[in-house]
Amino acid sequence: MKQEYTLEILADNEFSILNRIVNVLNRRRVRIKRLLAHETEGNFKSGRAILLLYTTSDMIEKVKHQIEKLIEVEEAVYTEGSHLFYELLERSNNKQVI
Amino acid sequence: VAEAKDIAPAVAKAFYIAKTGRPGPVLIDITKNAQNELIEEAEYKKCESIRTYRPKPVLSMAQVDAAAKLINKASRPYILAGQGVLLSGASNELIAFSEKTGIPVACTLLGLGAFPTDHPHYAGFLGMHGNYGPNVNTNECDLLIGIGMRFDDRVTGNVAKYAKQAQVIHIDIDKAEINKIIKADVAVHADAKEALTALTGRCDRKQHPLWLKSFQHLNSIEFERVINKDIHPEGELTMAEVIHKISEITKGESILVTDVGQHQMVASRYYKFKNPLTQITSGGAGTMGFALPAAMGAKMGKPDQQVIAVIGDGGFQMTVQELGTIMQYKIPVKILVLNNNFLGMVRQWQQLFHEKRYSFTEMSNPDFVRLNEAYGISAERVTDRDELDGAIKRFLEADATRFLEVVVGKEDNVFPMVPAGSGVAEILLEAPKK
Repeated sequence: MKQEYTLEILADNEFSILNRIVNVLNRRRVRIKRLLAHETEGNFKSGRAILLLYTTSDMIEKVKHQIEKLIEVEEAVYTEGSHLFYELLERSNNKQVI
Repeated sequence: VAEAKDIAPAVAKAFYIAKTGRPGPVLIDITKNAQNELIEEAEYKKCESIRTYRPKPVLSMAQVDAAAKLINKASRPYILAGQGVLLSGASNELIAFSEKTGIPVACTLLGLGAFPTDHPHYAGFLGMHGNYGPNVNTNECDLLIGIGMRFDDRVTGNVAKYAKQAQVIHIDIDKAEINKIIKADVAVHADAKEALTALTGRCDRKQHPLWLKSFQHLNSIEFERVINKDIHPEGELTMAEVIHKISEITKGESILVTDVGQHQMVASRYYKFKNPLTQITSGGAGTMGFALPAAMGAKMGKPDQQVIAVIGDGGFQMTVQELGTIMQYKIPVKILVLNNNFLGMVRQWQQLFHEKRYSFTEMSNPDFVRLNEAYGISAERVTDRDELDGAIKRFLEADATRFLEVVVGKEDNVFPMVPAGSGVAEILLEAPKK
């Protein structure tokens, strides 16, 4: 059964990394409902992407591992539901360090 | 890479990524600006770590203990060995593990050579066109141990009918492969060599003679109904008899590079690989045209070993221009083309599953012998069984590059076959009667 998941990704901020993360999802037809990506405050060499996805529990586990296989990605963590996404979004809107 | 100063570090990083973890190709994109730029000094420093990349998992002894527990209580355990065993250099560890625990070993297409084909515990070749025993017994075992393999669809057939009765241990260096297709009861996320060494120490010494015998029994059915007819045919020449003869003469010790299609399956079935890293094929990528350039690479890498490229008539023309490279660098590879004047594997599917509606599979081929001679390569064509032995002898004994074309039956099929959508136990030994 499909549901919402918040996927948080920490990565080195190299050119095209966001593109490759999204490609992993596109190839598996995983729906991206919302996406927030930014450089780490005070360190442009690393960054974070937070995605709100709509998919199955099987698929979220698979894409987590596939995204972690990307060389620049340090970690990908997911939680069920959208509350974490909106929490992080709000902090980002308020220009808080997240 | 947009600046010249970044080229050397990028190349160093690429080699590190290519050779570690689950090895594989790396693309480096260097802009023309960077290529033309002059820099003071290009220092090449070997790359030994990347902050965000952890190629080698740490072996968890808890996982090993859980796996050993399942192995010790299993009565019909069964090992599927893949290319991971070869890449980690774990063939000897696999043999030691199998000999101590008495577990039969089957190899995937890319895993061929990981376990000697003449070993008493060798169960056979797995997969869509694999042997009868290893496929049927997948659904009879009580414990399935996948080592350095990824439960590809050519191995599993219909996943819903795959080893439902068995518990599964999956040993793999790539975390993304674990639980991807087949859920593992125990996953060992580790390098195959380390995992096998640790497991051998923790498993009981056991034998499973009846279980081993069931593989031999099933494979003997296949021998009667398929293999014997393939290697001792009447009428037209078959691919199988050619590979069988070459296998006997070379004692299974040459490096065999195969392309994609019927000849690839026949070569994998009938060449009796004895040593690790002697079979090279493109596996899941399924790239026709792979064999000729890959054979050149194999010969450059192992100049002292005999390298035989086995290619179909369709695939040969896809990279036929490499004959120019072979000529220029005088690379003494053996090129065997098994010519049925068809894209044989596609034709086989069209025959069996699309009511013989042949669509763009019949080939009008050039004169391969004259084509090779144009490149200065000595070449021979065989159309008759009486000429075959002599031609193979000349082919294998030649010092220089040598080409041999064998014209085989146009509409021969490769069996056994697990039709797409069927379970592994539904493997066919011959075409279904309509």
